[in-house]
Amino acid sequence: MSFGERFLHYPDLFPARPAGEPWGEQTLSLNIAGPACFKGLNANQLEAARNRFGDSDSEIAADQPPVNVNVMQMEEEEYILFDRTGWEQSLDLDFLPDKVRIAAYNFIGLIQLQPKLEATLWTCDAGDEEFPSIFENFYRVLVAYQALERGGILLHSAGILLDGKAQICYGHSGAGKSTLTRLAVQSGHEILSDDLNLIVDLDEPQVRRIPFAGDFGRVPVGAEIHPLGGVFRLKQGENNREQLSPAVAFSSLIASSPFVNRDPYRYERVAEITEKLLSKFSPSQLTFSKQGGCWDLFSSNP
Amino acid sequence: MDTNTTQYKTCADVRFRVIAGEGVIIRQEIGEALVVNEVGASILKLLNEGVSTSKLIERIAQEFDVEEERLTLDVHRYLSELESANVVEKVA
Amino acid sequence: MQLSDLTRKFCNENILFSVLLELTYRCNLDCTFCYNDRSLKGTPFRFEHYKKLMEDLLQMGTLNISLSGGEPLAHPDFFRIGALAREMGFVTRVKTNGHALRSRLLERLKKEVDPYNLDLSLHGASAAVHDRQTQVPGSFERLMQNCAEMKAIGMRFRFNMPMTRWNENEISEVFDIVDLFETSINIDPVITSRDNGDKAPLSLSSSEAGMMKLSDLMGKRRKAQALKYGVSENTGNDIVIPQKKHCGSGSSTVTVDPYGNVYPCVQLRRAAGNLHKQSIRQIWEGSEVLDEVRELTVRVKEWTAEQGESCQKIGFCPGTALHETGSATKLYPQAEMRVTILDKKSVREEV
Repeated sequence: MSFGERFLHYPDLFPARPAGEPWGEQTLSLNIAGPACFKGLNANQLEAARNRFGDSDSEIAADQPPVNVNVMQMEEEEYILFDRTGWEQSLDLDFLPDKVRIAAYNFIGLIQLQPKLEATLWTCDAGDEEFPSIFENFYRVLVAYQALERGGILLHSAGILLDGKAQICYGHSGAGKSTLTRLAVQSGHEILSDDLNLIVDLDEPQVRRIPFAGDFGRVPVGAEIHPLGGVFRLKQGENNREQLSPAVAFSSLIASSPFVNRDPYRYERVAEITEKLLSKFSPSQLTFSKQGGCWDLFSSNP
Repeated sequence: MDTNTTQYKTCADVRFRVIAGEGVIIRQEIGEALVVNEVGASILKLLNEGVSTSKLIERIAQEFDVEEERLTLDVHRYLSELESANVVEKVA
Repeated sequence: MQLSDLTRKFCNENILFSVLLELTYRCNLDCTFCYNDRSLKGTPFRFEHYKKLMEDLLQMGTLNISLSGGEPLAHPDFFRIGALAREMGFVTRVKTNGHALRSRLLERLKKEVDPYNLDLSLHGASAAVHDRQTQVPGSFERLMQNCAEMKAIGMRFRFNMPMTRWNENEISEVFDIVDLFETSINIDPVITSRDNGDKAPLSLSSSEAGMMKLSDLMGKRRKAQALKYGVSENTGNDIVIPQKKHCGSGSSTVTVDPYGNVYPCVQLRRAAGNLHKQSIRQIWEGSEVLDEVRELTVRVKEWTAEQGESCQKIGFCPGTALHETGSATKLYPQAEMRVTILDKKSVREEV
């Protein structure tokens, strides 16, 4: 099945440039992996997005021009309707030399990477029930690219604060991110996110709290930032920690960098940033037991 | 000869307009444009309205003040010319 | 009376014969020189608005409707608008880049809209050049495949090509493509600024050598066609020059943008009114802008005659002149270049 066929009646008509009708005149400024300014929202969309993500306009420093994101109208008839019982949103991504196209249920998106980063989100949702998830699904991809541009990396991971330091436990779906997060909450530890965490400033790696999460850590955007304490590949079993070989660490980290890891045009950049992270931290494999008792492993030597 | 009960209509690919008293016929299939005079334009306009040949002759006779008998032969000849040129066809 | 005589009559008597509808500025390609003002805002024209407009146009005797864009197929109501135009008996042309016109979409277009013709945008004779201009990899190959499919189902099409510095060395190969599909092409040697005044596209304007080559090649093709079909070699020009006016801008044609603004033509972007506020008949009969443009085209006709034969032959566009120089009776750089070429050619022929 070619790009967009699952979601659009005529994917060939996918717009190659940011044009169309805005929904309204509202603007929302958010800062996750850098400032982004969403333009063209209507009042309902603004409220829905603000309730979910907050509004970090005050945080945006004047020396950082925001990434402009146009929110445009698209007709419902353009999308294929299908029964979504038991279906989980998944995105079609089309990687091109200067841009990335996104097709999904009820929205399409365009992230222009060259000559400068800007984006467009087209949706048929006027700010109803599904708008926050549409907004988030699109924004996750944008954040991955914004992080990449600024030398950071988004990781599919559970982020846990231990002694003021962020421990990033990455792994594929089913590796135990949610289980570990639940154990952390039960043990009274603070959670950053149980799904996606953002590592920035790789000269002195830090973890920024971001609002992309599953059951734990769904908080609005905040300026909260923590030093990175460690990076761990997650596995369930008997409590244990062992050093990963550099090659396994490198490949498993890339495998856990959503969206950008499939982009053939940006591979070098992803690899460069991953290597930089590995030069500061040597990831271990952290095997943890559902019964708990794994917290000492974070501070022990492998 | 066709009788006055025969009904014609313009062919599916034909587009027709009366503009400033002139009839413009476009045959889309072959990209041909024809221009017909005021009487021809009136005939095609009536055909487009689904009028039968006998009614058409009656209306044209009134409009241009011509005897119906004299007009009948001319209209039939004109319609068969248009039919040969694939502008009109008989309604089945 | 011939249709060409009739169109002169429509132009002289201000009869609205052809209307170009820019349905949307959305597009699935991203041509470097696109003139559309994508920042333009307003209340978008939807099916109900187009229905009312077409009903009025039918009353006014309009025959031709061109559905344009952006990419017109990207308008959510495209098929309803096209089908209604067909039902109302308009001769409908669709100006499209052809990128999406394959299989199901193509079949729908043929079945539901049955356009008189498709004007397909071609930007070169190779993927390297065409795709560079559309900024969509694979668009050349796709267009060629789609053309083959169109031909197989009997969809009539011809090509439109804006000539640029990038494709001017492929003109001969472009003609090979035209011949392969047994169709025709309209090559526009003039690249204009964007409608919002941005002059960036002008840097792609074709060179004098490119224009000279085009002129020579077209001359040769006309001669070859004259020999083949036994017709006069001077009949290859598509442009009908009316008697009293230089062109039909605001006299036999108007352009409507996606927000209902009415302009005298696609090049002359002075709004004569908005269809959300007035009917097309009210604008056509009462707009001062249209009256001014009608007078202007008479003056331009006289002015080109004063400039000499070459100026009358180049397809001088008052709208482009106004846009590029601020005056409708002033040669813009590309027109000047074409006059020079024609003058040189006529000297060469005399020698």
